[in-house]
Amino acid sequence: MSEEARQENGGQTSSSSTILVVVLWAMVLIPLAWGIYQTLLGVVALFTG
Amino acid sequence: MHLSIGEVYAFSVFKNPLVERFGVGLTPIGIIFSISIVMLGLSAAVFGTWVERAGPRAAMFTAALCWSSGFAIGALGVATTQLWLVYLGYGVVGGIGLGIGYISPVSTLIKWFPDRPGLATGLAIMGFGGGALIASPLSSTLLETYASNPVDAIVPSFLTLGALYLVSMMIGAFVVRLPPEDWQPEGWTPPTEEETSDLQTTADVSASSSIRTPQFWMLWTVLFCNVTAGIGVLEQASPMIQDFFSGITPAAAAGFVGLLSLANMAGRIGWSSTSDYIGRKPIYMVYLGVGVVLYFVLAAFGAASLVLFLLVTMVILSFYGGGFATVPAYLKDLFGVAQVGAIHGRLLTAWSAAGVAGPLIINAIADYQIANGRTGADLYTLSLYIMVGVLAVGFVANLLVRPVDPRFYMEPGPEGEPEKESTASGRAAGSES
Repeated sequence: MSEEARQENGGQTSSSSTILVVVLWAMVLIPLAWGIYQTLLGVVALFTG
Repeated sequence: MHLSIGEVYAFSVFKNPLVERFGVGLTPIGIIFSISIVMLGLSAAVFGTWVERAGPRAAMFTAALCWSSGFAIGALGVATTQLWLVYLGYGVVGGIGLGIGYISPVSTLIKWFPDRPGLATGLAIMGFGGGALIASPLSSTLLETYASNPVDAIVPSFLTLGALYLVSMMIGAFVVRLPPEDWQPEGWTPPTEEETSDLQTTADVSASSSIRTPQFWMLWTVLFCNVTAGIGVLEQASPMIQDFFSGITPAAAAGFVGLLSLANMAGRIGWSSTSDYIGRKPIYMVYLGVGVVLYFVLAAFGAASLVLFLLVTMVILSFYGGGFATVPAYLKDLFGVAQVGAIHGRLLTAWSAAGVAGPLIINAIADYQIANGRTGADLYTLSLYIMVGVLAVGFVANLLVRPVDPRFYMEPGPEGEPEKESTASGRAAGSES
């Protein structure tokens, strides 16, 4: 397999794909963290009221 | 992908505004959710083979179009007060997007991470649980933001959600890719026949052959029983805790629903990852066997202590989520990776069936008990004992899972690709079914 093909298919990690991975994980984790935080605010009500 | 389509679990946020908008009872509005879940299972079964053939990018693209179109058609139905359009849009078209979107990443992830299939699919399917955690507060915020009366905010909220999910799912479709044919993680080599456990195959079974195996129907039963038991509690969580404990306010009950959602999500990644180490069959023994004990404890002693009630229901919901997330890896073990997405699609019809059976059992028995003058925890005791029996059936079905008979294996093609099924006489030697 060519070097280009290896990069295309994930055989090696280039710096641009590292940035892409970080951005994509952020797109998933930031809203998920917000959703979990909002849910936990509701859970507090279970123990306080 | 799964974070987007997981919105369906937060649809209840729109229930009351939709009831007011259409001037109907809760049941006709509840049908919207039911249609979408039934369509999820049916479309996953019908389009599963196409998803495998077309690849994850085309499948995710299609899912994104269907899911976002579902919101748009639904918004048109709300704007024109045509409930059937909401059924068609959010229920049918959106439901097709749910089914295709649910299975599209599964086989891709298993191919990328053959060393940790449970962790890989657990992460994705955890997203489905997480999607509701995002969509629920997001939908509430949209309903409050667009108009002073939530009824007037349904249309712009639907359109906003449709646009948001179109963009996020298209990004997923854009970046997804299949690994090269010879891909394997660094330092990992595929296990040989001798190294695999009894239930793990190194061969492949086609989707059409899989449904002719007893293993498929045993797993269908396992998934059906696990989901029926879990969804029954999940669907009635808020009224259930208020009936068990008279001092619980509606706000606190909403917090309980959130707690169960977190347990459901944590179970998807936690238990599914654990299955990579202890095996799929043993982990389902835990879900179903320990589940039997927990449902019994809930029925017999749940009303005695709030802490006990919370702990037991949280573990039950973690098993519910774990059951969903572990099943693709179980299928991969039994049927190989070649058409695991399509086989998974067919298996999800168990979810559709359980989505009807679970709430039906809990609601019908609660109504019957109310009619007989019972109140509080007594409304649920019989249902919970029935769930003990349902889980016991699932436990036995899991016990009966054996390796797939080699006569169902596909024969390798010229390039080493699985190509066609072997004949019954061709490779029956050494079969163990």
